[in-house]
Amino acid sequence: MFVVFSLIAILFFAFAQYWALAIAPPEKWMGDVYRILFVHVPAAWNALLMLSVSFVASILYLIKRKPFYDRLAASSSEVGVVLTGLTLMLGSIWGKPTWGVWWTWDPRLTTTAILFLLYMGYQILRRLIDDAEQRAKISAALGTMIFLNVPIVYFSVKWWRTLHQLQSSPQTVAPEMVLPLRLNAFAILGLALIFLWMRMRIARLESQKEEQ
Amino acid sequence: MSASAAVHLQGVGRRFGRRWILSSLDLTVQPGETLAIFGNNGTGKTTLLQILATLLSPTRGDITIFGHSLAREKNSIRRLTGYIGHAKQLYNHFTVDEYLELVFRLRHKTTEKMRTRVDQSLDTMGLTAHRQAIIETLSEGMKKRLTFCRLLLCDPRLILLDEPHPTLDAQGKMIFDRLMREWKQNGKTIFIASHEHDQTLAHADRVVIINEGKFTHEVRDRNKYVE
Amino acid sequence: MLSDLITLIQKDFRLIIRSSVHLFSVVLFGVLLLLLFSFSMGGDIDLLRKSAAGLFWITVFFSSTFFLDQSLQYEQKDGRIEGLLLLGVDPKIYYVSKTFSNFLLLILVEFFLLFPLIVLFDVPFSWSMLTVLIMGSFGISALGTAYAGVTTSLVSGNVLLPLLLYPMLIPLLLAGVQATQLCITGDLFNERFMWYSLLAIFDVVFFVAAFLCAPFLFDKSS
Repeated sequence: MFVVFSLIAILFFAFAQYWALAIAPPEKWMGDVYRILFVHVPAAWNALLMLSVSFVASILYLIKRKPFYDRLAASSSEVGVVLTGLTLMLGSIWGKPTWGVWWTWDPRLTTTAILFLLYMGYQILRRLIDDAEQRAKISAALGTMIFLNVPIVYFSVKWWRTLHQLQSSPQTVAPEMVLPLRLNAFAILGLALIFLWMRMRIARLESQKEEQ
Repeated sequence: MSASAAVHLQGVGRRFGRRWILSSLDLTVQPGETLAIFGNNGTGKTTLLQILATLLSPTRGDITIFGHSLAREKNSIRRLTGYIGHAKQLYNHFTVDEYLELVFRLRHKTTEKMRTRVDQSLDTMGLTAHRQAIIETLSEGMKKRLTFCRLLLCDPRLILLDEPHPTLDAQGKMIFDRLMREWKQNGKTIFIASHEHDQTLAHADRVVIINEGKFTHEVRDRNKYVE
Repeated sequence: MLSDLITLIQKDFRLIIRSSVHLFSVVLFGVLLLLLFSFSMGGDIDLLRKSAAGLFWITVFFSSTFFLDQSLQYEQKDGRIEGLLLLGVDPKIYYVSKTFSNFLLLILVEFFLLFPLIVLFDVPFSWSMLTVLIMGSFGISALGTAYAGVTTSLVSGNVLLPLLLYPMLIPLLLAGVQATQLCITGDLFNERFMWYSLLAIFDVVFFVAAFLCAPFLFDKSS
């Protein structure tokens, strides 16, 4: 099952990337540089999706106390962190030729950076608590609070930027670029699910080992 | 399962990381019974008492204390139990009086009879002369006696004592023996985990020996107890 | 419930007076930081005035982690918090009492830090600045108490506290700095109310969330 799904997901990813790199037309102003967005934007979407999964799993853990939800929260947040890191890196690489700087305080990019820090902290915390139950409980509580902060962080950064009269990039997307963007969103979702599945398996094996 | 039992454990286990400190404990203790728990260091005596005191939750198994389930009715159990462990839990910047008044207020949610009860407990533990002293300045033995004052103020039905002897001073030990007799007369249920076998045996109705997270021996007649 | 809350807050104040939290050293640390900041900025009074709000809030952050750690560390030592729980204190009530006393402590510290701010950075005092301080401090205490409760129970906790807490406080920092800045430079378009509302939302969201999570954070057997 998993192997079949993985194969399909990887093939689909290759297909979507081919479309993005070869079939989609170059952009009027930025040329081929913009193609990095076909990974950057889907990675950001899926990062947010994974972190939302982690949030829901954390709340469910606090209510139901099933170790499964703890493993889900840990695994999805880890995949989310990786995708967040990827988003940041690509955003920075894209920013250099586009804006001439590696970093701009664009609200979305800044929020992503803060998210990265927040969830890195969460990962560190998870590794510092030895007792499985304590770890699950405390990380679920803090994980919930961290996610609650996402919209607050976003609006605070947005207001902060508008006050300084700095434009964020206008993101009008041409119709022939919408399709490859969507394709890639699902392609990366496929990859994220593979990661999540494998991470869940590792977590399950780890807790089995702990129980022996 | 016996509804009348003071404490009932079934298949209780507790894991820390990969190690099962307690593997599987079954035990029933009747009201008014005094149970001594012997065993080497690291065998799980402290863990067991902490679980009964609701400081730790068991990894598996069921516990009922005076008919209340430990998993669901923790607050009712907290009102019925008193625990003295290794940590003294004292606010060492407070005076003895201030600390005991804090305990009384939090436990009974009232100040009615507070003075008399505090005075009584200080008198019982022989600390009346030190009531104005800052706790930090007391000797270790007196601090230990102060934890007994706290227990007296709480007036619990189930008393959990984790190694009460070593830090008690001579006067404290005398008072302790007297208290134990009083408590038994008043029908308190008592658990004592200890290394001081002789001093504990004098009070115990029953002895269990715990080894590697399991009860290995149980002795009902204290005269038959041989190491 | 309410009587427990009052008893616990009284207890905290008695502890503060008996110096379980070294308030004086926290204040001195803050003053020192402000002084260091103004040295490092080269003593240019215009530059200092412009960056006063940001530097002040950074100082508040640093000082607050100091005593948040101290005040919860004290409870963690010798099983004190466990003692309270066994006496029947609800962990939620415990959380509220700690948040409240940390909040009052923070206000007190900030009050002493305002003097060097006004003197060193040539900042005019305004009453609206106090509103910002109060709202910001409550947010720091609400979240900081919950986080310090977790980190002080861990072995390497004191490094972890700022690492976990500061990113969470970024919205509060932005709002606090902007609002304070507007108080200093003047607020023609009443923009600061936008930041007030952000602070208010932050305070309410995290106070409620941490209140509900308190049993998981403070009671090991929950």
